[in-house]
Amino acid sequence: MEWIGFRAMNTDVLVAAQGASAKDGMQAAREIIEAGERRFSRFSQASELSQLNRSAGRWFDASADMIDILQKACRFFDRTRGLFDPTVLPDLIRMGYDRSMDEIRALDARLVSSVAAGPRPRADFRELELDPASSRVRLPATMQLDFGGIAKGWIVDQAVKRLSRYSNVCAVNAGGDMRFNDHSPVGLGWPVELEDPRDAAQHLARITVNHGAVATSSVAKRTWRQGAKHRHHLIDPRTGEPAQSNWLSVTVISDDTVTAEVYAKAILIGGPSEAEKLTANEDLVYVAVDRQGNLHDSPQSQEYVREYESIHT
Amino acid sequence: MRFFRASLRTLITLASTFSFLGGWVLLAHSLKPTSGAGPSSGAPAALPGIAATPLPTLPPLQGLDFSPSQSAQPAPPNPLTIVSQPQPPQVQAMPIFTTSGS
Repeated sequence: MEWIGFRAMNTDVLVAAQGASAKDGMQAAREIIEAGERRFSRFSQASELSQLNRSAGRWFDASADMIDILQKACRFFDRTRGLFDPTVLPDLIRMGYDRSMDEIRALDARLVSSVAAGPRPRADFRELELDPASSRVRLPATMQLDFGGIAKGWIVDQAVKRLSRYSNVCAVNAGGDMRFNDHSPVGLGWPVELEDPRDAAQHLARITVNHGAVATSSVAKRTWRQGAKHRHHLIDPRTGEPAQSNWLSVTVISDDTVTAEVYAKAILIGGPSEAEKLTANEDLVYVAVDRQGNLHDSPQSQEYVREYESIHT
Repeated sequence: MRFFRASLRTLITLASTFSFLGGWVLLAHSLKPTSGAGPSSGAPAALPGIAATPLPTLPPLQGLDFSPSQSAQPAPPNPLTIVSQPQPPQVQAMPIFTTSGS
């Protein structure tokens, strides 16, 4: 097994593959990831997403990939009953998340943008007009989108899809959003360490995944101080404020990274009271970590989890 | 005549008596049989002055090998050769995947 690591999408990316063509495949996957970041990052004014946001109120000629992501976003908005909502960009900016996380971490808290008076009304995501036949989209004039995790998951899925042409045994991990192809090394499955959100050096459990994707959302990872206030990047669309959840992190195992990423975020925002309702009709498994380090997992874990060893319980 | 018959009876009686006593003494001083070394055990008892010849033993069986070179010219077994035990398949090193979260 060979692998490469690099920085992209403001996180650490790991690409792993096995076989004679592994190096070529990893390089191809890296190009997919870097190109995807250039197209869907809101921090680049030249990205397609920034162009779309600037065109709010007018029809925009979008790429097929942009249409694909928007269609998925619409479906997940409905399936999560609005807990996944890419229109929270104005609230993120109001909280000070107006530049990349790498830049925010390098700044002093006093230099982060000050807090606005309060949440402003946002356009309803269902008002977005999408015309896949002509590959066009129109945002309402007041709508601004942040793809955030869904774009990252989509890019990881595309990278593994390309990498699989070169190697039967391969995986991509972008800051906890990971996708594994259907052939695990020597048939043992892919081991994934579940990080303790209270202490990144500690692992709470080991999940062995046969195939598919694993994604984690955490309120302890992308954090910053805005004046005297502690902020994180998971905005609750119902309040326009950082989510107040009893859970510190949620990890979802699913068939693809987009689904895992979206539901990890929605379950974390919704908390224990929404988790069962969100996952009732979905083919996925979640593991949540609360503020005391206790694990809460969904009962139907056999399909995706071959081995589950909790160290603390 | 009567004197001759009496002497002959006395001589036979004494000869029988001494022969019986001599045999008794001889058997009493002979080596006792070794426990468990009877004919059923297959190992004869060691006798003084007789070197026991060990039973021939078969060499250990060689492992089955169907490779053409081995079957054409089987190598003589070398008792000093250390045959390494078969190793389990090596698990290739893998990167560590961690749910660092985003």
